Formats: sequence, C-alpha cells, structure tokens
Amino acid sequence: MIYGQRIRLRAIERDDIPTFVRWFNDPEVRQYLLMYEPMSRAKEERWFEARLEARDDYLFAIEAQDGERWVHIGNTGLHRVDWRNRHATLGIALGEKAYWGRGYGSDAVRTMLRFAFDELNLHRVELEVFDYNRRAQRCYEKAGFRLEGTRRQALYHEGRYHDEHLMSILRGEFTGHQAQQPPQ
Amino acid sequence: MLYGTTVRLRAVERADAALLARWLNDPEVRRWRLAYLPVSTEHEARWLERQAQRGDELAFIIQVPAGDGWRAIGSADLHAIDRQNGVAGYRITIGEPDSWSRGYGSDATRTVLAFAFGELNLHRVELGVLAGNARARRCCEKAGFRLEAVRRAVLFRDGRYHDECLMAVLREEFCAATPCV
Repeated sequence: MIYGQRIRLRAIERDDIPTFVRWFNDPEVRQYLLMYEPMSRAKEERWFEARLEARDDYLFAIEAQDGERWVHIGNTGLHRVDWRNRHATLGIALGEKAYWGRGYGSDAVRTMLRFAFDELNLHRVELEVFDYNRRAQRCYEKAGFRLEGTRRQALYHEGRYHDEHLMSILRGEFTGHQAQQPPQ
Repeated sequence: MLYGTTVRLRAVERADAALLARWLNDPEVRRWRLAYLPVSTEHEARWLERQAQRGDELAFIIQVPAGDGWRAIGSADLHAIDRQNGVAGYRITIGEPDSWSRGYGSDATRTVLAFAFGELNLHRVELGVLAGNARARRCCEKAGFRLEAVRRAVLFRDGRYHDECLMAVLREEFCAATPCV
C-alpha cells in the first residue's frame, strides 16, 4: 500500500473487474481516455490476465478516504517505463464521478510522482491529455507538470479532430517529496 | 515504386537486412538515432520479418540515380499507422553520408507525405528528431513539418540527457503547398 494524504494506492484485484466495466462504459468517463467502444466483462478479464504478465508497467487502484471508509474511485499507472532513459508515462482515470473535483486526483498524481522519483529512480514523467479535459490539465499543473507542446488534431472524437497536449515533469521540478504516513 | 523529383522509393526486401545493419552501425548515422546498441544483420532480418506481418507499418528504401541504375542510400517508413485517427509516425535515415545535404531527404520525405495523404488518406504525420540534429530538422521543415513540442531530457547518451523535438504536418498544410494527387 502506498499512502498519499487522503488517498492510498493498492494493487488491482480480479474482483475489481466489474467496477472497471461499469466505469469504462460511462461515456462521461470514457471521453477522457483512449477508449471509444463499449467495454465487455470478457475483454476486461482478458486485459487483467495480460496485466499479470506485464513488465515495466505499474498500475494501482486509487482508494479515497471518505469519513471512515476507503472507496475505490479510480486507477493510476506508470506505463512504458524506459529504464535506460529513466522515463515513464503517467495515466490516471477517476471512474467514480461523485469524487471528481475534490482534490483526490491531485493527491494520487503527487503520490505517483513520489513513487516514480523516490522509488523507481526515474528522471522524467510525461503524459498526454486531450485539449477538452481542462480539469485534468489544472490538476497536472498543480502537481508541477509543464506544458511541452501540442499534438495538433491528433484525436478524432464526436465528429471532429482534437488537439492533445504533452506535459512532463523532471525529477528536479518535483517538490512533493515529504513522506506521508499511513493514518493511525 | 514511388517517384519523387530525384529519388524513388521501393518496398523494403528481406535481402536489405545487411544493408540496413551496415547503415545503422555507422556511428555518424547512429549518432542521431534513438538506438544505442550495435545491430546485427539477423536482428534487422527479424525486424523486416515482423514488419512485413504488421498492418500498421510501411517501410521503403530510398534510391537515387547512379550511372545506368539506381543506388540505395537510405530508408524511410511510416509506422504506428492509426487508421481511425488518421495519424502515423515517420522516420527517415540517409545511411550513406556522401548523400547528406543534397536534398534527397526532403525529396523522399515529400514523396512519402504525398503517399500518406494522397493514398493512405491520413490526416497527420509526425516525427521525433533529436533537438541537436539541425540537418534533419531543416530537412523536415522544408518538407512541411512544424515544430510542436520539445520533449525535455528524454534520451540519455554520452553521459547526459538530450531533448527531442516533436514535429508534425497536417494534410491540409501539406496539400496547400504540394498537390497531393
């Protein structure tokens, strides 16, 4: 378990599959992800099996502290880890819409960056975000990501092309190093 | 065969493995590529084998007129072809240093772009080029690419990190400058 301030990151379990199927069939959630077709349970099961064999890829479930409970609200991952050049791509999806806009995403992003820089010894973390996903862009900026440029008209969605922004953060730019303690 | 102004592009063949390995092992050529290990002919042959099976990649050998025939000077490819979004990556290597700075690279690039937009019906072609590779950046700008982003410190080489430029050209930009058909 990796603890942030109000979130914690745990490993993905087989039991999470129905939750993923529910989240990723919600168009409001899906519009921000690299998914565009209805998601079946069978497909998610196959994806889960493949993940168990995945190398150089880390994926965690985000649990938010909500009063006395820990609620599974989304996933976050470091993908395509390149060990020689020491960089990776950050991904995050918050599937529980009731928890949007409450700072849990920022908390999870900072916790992942701390994992990337302080544990995996990476040098650079990058990500791609669609131009219409303003909430995510603000969250990444708050965590210290900088805009590197824009892939013009790289994504086709709802009848037209959209831009995709490239953002990154280098090890020296990350200031969220202070260790977090698990709640007593 | 695709014909440009001076160059022509033919499909890559299994027999090209030794040629590709020779080019990629030249330190002057490799300096600007992301690869860092010496490559074997066998490795290139396997890459060609896989490449021929994949539906999302097209590789060409660039030839220039020489005497009565044609001489192979480099390779170019479209890869990660994403038909849904109409996006592909582009890569070019002029493997014979005596053919550098003669306009062959931009000629070949324009020829591949005309094919990508005019035949494959793609919408956007992009490429990554090391920030220090001024010759390649100029070549791609001449062919219509625009700088979109500088990816900081993505490549570790010679003891330090280097930046990479992301460049891209859209169909409407290319077709405004060059007829696509």
